[in-house]
Amino acid sequence: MDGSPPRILRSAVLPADPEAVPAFEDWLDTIPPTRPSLGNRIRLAGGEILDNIVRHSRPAGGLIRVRLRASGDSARLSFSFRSESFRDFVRNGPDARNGSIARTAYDPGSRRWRGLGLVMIARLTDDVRYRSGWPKDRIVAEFRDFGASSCTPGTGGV
Amino acid sequence: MNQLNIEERREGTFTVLVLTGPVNSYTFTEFQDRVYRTVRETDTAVDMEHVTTLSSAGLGALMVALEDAEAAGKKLWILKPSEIVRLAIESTGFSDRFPVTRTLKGLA
Repeated sequence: MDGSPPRILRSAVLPADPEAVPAFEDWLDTIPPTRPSLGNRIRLAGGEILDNIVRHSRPAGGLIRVRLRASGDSARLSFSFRSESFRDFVRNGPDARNGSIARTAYDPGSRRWRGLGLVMIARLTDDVRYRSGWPKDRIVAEFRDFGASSCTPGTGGV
Repeated sequence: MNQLNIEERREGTFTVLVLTGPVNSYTFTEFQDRVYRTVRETDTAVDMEHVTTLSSAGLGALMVALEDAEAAGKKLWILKPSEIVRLAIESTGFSDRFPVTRTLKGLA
């Protein structure tokens, strides 16, 4: 034992339905803890990404593969799936971090805040990439831990 | 644990909703219904010490509940938020909208 943090490489297949988010949280609970601040960001941002995939992309085959790679002070969380509608999303706003889609608005008709999840994803990750292509569509989120339990400053276009 | 448990108690003029578990896209409607109903009738505190995650849907419900409380002339406080709840609030960029407290003493 050299005391260095363990390398983690885990994957799982999640249902592409409302059960996906609780299944994702259960899966995270089975993984050895990284730094708490990093783990919280992965849990929050991952849940938002997954919820958006399920609600807006309607993956074919009803499945989403999630993979977490973590080592020391960084982690990469990726989701892969197949979706026709995801292509349009990527075409219209490929990068939530550039501020073009990471904005919130209150919809008085439904009494709901729109876009809050995308803002959270942008501020909780150090980088997020949306890729549409054969054989899989992918969303890859990168996290780096700078020691403080906080959001990435100055990002998200809010 | 994927179930949200909501218990209710009184503390001074406040109704305290004690949440335990995740407030995510799967569970938030239960929380939303409960907090919308409560803030119309009484000063409310949402005890979030044992909340294991807080999604944008849950945060949105809290923001609407804050507006409802204000319109009804009632108070709404977030009581003892867990670390992940604090992080979720911070990640919205709207931290200043959420009244957070460690205790209701002096507020009730």
